[in-house]
Amino acid sequence: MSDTARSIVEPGKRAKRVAGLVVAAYALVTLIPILWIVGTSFKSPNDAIAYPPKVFFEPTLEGYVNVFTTRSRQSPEYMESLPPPETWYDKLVRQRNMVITGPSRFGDRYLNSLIIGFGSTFLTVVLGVLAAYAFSRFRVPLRDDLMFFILSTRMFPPVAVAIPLFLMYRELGLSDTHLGMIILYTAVNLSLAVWLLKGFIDEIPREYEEAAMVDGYTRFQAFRKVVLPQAKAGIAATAIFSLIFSWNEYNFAVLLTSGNAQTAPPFIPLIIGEGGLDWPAVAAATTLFILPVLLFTVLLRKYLLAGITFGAVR
Amino acid sequence: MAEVRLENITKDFGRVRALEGLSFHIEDGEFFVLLGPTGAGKTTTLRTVAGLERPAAGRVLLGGEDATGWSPAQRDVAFVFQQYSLYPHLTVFENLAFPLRAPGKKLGAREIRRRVEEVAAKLRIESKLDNKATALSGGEMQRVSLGRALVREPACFLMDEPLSSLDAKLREGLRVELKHLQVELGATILYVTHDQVEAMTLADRVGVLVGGHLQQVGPPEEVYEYPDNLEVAQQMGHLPLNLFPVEEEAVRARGIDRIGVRAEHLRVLPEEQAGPDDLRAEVLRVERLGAEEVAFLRVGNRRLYAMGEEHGRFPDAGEVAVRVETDDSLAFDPSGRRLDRDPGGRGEAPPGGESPADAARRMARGLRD
Ligand SMILES: Nc1ncnc2c1ncn2[C@@H]1O[C@H](COP(=O)(O)OP(=O)(O)O)[C@@H](O)[C@H]1O
Ligand SMILES: [Mg+2]
Repeated sequence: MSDTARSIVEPGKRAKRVAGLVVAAYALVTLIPILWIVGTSFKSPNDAIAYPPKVFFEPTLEGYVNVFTTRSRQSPEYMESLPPPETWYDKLVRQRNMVITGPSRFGDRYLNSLIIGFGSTFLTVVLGVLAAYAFSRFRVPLRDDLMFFILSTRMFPPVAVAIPLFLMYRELGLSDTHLGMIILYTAVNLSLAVWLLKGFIDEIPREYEEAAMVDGYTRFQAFRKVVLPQAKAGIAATAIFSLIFSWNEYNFAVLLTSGNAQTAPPFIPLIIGEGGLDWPAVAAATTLFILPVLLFTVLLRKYLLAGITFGAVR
Repeated sequence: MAEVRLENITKDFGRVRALEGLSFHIEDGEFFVLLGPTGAGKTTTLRTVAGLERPAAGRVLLGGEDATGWSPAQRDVAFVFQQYSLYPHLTVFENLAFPLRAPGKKLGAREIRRRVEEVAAKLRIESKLDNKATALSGGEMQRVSLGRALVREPACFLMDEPLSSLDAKLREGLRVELKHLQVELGATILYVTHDQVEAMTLADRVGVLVGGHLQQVGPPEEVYEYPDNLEVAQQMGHLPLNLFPVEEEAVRARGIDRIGVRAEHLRVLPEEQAGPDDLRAEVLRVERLGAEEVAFLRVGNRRLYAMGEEHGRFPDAGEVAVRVETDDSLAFDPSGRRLDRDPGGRGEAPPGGESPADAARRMARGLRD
């Protein structure tokens, strides 16, 4: 018996301790690859491929400099003739007998990812919340069939539509455009968004909107002032899921983008250094790539839980 | 404030007919209570007046104008909902200010603050203005939702059982306050309830709604004393109506099918005063409620309810004598319509016959034998 009173459905002390251990072990296992990537991004190329692998090493920002720049190797005589380096990254590069010849394309690709990821997330949330509201509140003909149809777009593997989509995009001039990728990711995310948001909006009693309408608001104003604030958790959860998907998406990005609208995922594996892959640079790009979603998720994590359980946790 | 008129309102939900040919009017400044059991169509009536439901047929007139096609926002009525009345994401102040910030209103921030504070003072919730709406007690929430209606100064108030979710003491307190406010403001109120005590105490006039049909409209005392039919009699009573079937042919011939006696009109007598016509009843249980007592009695295989206001009127068990008072019994024909519907003629024997009460008494004798 424990010394403090507790409900019988509440887990006991020992059960809690065991659960804690299991969670800690799981967290460690899932965190190791991420920590390894972050670690590698601060290694020198030699440390990165050292065998046995190095856990302790001298950190350097070389990987990050290499991700953002293109460089060329020069003869020692030429290096001698240069004026002293102006910046810390110039100095870092020159230690390897190289000079910076210009910025790399990583910045562009990263920007593309931001535009396409957040653009499609925004569009998904706007369209999703409007559609979910309509499905929740109006007598839409064939509502259940339509809801099922919307969900069924998730049931086939994306590869199945790769070729038709490729041809369609080429004909429509959407290949390798930001707009094309935003539309594509929005279409994919919308099914989950509608289902998720409908669950949340169903939970909001209509009386609130009706009260607002009696108080002199139109339906759309009532939707904005009363429904949206109360669907906040659902909107946040939907936004996280959409962003995670479109941020990480690789297959369609490889297929449909190249020079102009290419996102970071297909670009990162192409980062090549001298004599093979530049692992610290790849790791640095990956670390930077993980960051926005990580921040977004940590900021909104309380809604994420509500989203996974379709609003059951308040 | 404005008068409200409903003409022949009919409303269906799929195959369910919620309202049928509903017509009544509420005068400017009148407190009108619609009384009916659950599912009678009370909420539907209010929603139709507010414009939240479109009637299948009939008209709604507000201040003499046909408002049937108007949107809720155009109607300028205030609605106090049965539940979910406050916006959970707003503070009490914001809840009260919400109707004043409606797009059509165009009130300045200072005017809004003044009116919100005035109403808050009236309802004694000034100290709660900065609370989240969800951090209030039930009574406070209901006050705030009344307040949200009051800040608006609308053409009329619609209230859907606003007190039913409160405990008895709060309910009584708020009931008194509400009546007081209505008199003070001269407000037109359509108030809906299933509680006959609320109907009796609040109403200038009461309408009894059963099964989507308006059964009877009138001042509460009149509807209580002279119900048109069995359903109204049952709605307007505290306890279930004691009903006696009539078997005697002579009485049946006059169209009397059942006799109803209210619990408060069944007189329980000391043994020595019992006459030959009085019933002998077995006391099954007595509920002593402080100010009044309710007894559950059995005569033969029939249950009766009796109510009294003196202490110790009922013994806890054993036999008592019960008398049906002449003036207080109600006679119904086979369809449930009350006979002797003319108030003046009530209780008197129709020419050439005995009064319903006499019949009841004789019938009671039959029960006992
Ligand atoms: N939205 C609706 N859909 C279907 N039936 C409804 C709806 N609203 C009310 N009803 C039906 O109409 C009748 C009257 O309901 P209501 O007006 O809510 O009664 P009350 O408020 O008197 O309890 C009931 O039989 C109820 O089931
Ligand atoms: Mg109701």
